[in-house]
Amino acid sequence: MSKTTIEIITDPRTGDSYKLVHHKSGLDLLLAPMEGFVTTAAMFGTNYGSIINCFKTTDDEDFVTVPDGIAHYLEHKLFENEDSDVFELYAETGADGNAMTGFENTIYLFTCTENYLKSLKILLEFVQKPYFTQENVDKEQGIIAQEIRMTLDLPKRRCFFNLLNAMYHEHPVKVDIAGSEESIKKITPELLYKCYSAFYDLHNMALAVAGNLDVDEVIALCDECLKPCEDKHTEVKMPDEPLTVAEPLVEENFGVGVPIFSIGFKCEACELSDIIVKETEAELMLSLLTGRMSPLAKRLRDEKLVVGPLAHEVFDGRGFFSLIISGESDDPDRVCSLICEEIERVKRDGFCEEDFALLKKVEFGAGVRSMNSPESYAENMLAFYFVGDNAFAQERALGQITLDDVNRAAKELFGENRMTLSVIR
Amino acid sequence: MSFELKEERPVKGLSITTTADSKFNTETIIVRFILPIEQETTQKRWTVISMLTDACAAYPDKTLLSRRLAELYGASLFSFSYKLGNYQVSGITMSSIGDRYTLNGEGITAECAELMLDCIFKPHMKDGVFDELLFENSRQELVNKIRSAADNRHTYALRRAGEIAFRGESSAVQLLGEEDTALAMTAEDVSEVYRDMLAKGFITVSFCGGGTNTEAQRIVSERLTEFAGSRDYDGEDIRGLTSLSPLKPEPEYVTEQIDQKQSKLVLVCKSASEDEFAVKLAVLIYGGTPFSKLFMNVREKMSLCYYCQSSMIEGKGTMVIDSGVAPGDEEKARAEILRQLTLMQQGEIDEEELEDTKRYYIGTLRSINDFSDDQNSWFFTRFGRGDLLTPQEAEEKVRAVTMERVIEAIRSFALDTVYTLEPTDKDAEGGDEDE
Repeated sequence: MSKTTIEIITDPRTGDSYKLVHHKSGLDLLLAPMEGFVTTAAMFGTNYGSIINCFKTTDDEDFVTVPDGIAHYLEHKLFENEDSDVFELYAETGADGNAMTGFENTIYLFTCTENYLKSLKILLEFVQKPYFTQENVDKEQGIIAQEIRMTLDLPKRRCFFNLLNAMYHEHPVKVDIAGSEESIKKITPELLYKCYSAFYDLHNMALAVAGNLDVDEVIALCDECLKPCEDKHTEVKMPDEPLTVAEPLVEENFGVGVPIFSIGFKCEACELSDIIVKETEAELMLSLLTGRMSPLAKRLRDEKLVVGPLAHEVFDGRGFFSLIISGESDDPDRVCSLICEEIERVKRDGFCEEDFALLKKVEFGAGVRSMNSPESYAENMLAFYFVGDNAFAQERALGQITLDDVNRAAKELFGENRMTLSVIR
Repeated sequence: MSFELKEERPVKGLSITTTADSKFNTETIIVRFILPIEQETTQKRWTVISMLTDACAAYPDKTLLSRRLAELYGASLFSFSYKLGNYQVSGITMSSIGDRYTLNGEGITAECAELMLDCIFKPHMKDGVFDELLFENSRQELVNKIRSAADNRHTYALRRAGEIAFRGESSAVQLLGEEDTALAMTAEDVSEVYRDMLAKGFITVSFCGGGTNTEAQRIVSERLTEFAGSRDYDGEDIRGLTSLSPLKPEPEYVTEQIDQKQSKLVLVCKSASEDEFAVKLAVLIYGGTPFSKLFMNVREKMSLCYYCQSSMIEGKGTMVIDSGVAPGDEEKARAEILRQLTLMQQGEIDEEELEDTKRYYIGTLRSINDFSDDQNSWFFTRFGRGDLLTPQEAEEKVRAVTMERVIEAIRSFALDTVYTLEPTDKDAEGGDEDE
């Protein structure tokens, strides 16, 4: 067994720092004491989310395919121990616990203002102690089925998932994180244990704690609670995904007051090592293209095509990278064609230098705000850890990116036959 | 550890409150105008407040104003309008990073304060009338919001339940109003409402963030004190916005249908209890935590839903219970929700539940210290309650609540309204038979 070692991660500009502890169990700890704060926020996450549905561990002869929605189902079921419910345990310490499953990660978290070590012990123990039976797996089906139905009644979310389904041919990102009422019926205790064993391996996980904490106390608790485990070296298989979209248009009738649209531009997925720079370039480019001070936003307002703001998102991860622009309009087709027209213009003429300088200031301000609470600090540390970097990576990338980089990104990221329009009417 | 609330009322009709904590890296200023809800003007006030953050005389369109905000490190400027008791609270929030966090140490918070004052007092008008294009855009935004009101079925069900529960009271008025009246509004109408809001609104100013006695605070305080002092304000000196809703003689049951996949249930109960913290704990024990009666029974034991929760509507003495269930399970869920209420009213709460809930709520109160926005929300909730209790003082009151008071508090609730929003084609959307 190796020894526990500590690295200090420092923001070169502000001098802010946190500790990256390589714990002897194989788990990395990200610890950020924050002076003056009474809240402790803890997040225990695994690099495993809904898009991973085909994998092979060292124990398997071949790849195994599991039902859609199983990562989310597993998250629900971990909250039930053999002898108690985790929320009842948190009730005794005063912590407010929760969990979330994303496309790529699953995070178990709590916040509290007292007894943080007791709550952290609960968190570390229940995540390491699965208890799945046919009875408790069956019981969860009704709850998750209602969670799925709840999301089906949200038109903006439907617009988004319709878009992903139309953009991607094979990639599992096209499927809702919770799966479907049909797919979750195929989930069994055995499959849950299989996924757990493959991905809830401390080498594939991390713990972030920020706010009111003592680093030595947390490490001592980890010494006590973390069960060393062997690295499963789980291999994940992603299907081959062409760069063209599966469908250029998808429409659904919901009876909304004003049609909702999302326009997705499919781009080439990038390597993990490049993801922060590529994502930041794309984010800046989309802000310049569609943000409130952009010429496009003004034109859409002046022509009364879009009244509220356009939203944009760089949607990326393992094997997928896309740019998404969303809004509400009585004429989504016209909005889409004006956006395409503007894309051609900026590919030709580039963006305005003054706007670029202003946008960098905006992004800098957003970065400062994002470190204003223990929860957001812990979330940042964990999110950047899972993409192989540290919480100050985006600020570093912002400092490096030039207007030329953003103009190049516009030329590279928008390609032929790579656009889908999703509309909910 | 605690934060202090400092309130001044330098002139009639103006309250200035400051909460500060140097650990925060942001500065926020909120100016609110509080006026009684009126059927004819709520919609126009919504439009006015929305226009004030879209443009001003110095930056007469969204693009120019956005550029100015970008220069200030992406300061955020937004408007809001909502109901509290029988009042409409409309306001503007300006938030930026603190001066010590800028790249070259330049001061931006005073400039943010000046910009906010410009938005309030120097709007984009010509001859005393809002610019026509600005007005048309805001009105269209309003119309779109009215048309989209049912898009989110969950919030729509809550809204409809509120309309039924508060029928006949001013709080039943919908702030966004109807599409026909929105389309009939003119720029002249809303310009009058703007002047009326400035003249007759009770004004509150809140400063929260990392700084005390900052230049920004001085600029806003002086300007608003001067303005409020120059008004001939004859409105009430508001100290509390509570306005209890009367209970119907018999519970009203309303079922409506819409195209959706899941039924939404909303139950409304009313109470006249003044024991604030006993009521708060009772509502949390019932359905306000992940270990509450509703969560553990309706969701965990019966697997009927993903969410089933209870919460209070501030200022109305009203508890709302809402849940989403499979079509066909509505009656089962309603019965269990009411059975849990009855059991609590019969005293079925154990000491452990009460202690766990106190701990949970005290954790929430303490965490207010760590969130600048929460400090501001806390202040305004207290303003609405008519006192300036700090979270620390509230914690002491929570600790003192006894089991008897909690049972008394939950007994004070009676069912007023049961609203169900079902799928149009209920049979086609039916749930599984395997429950």
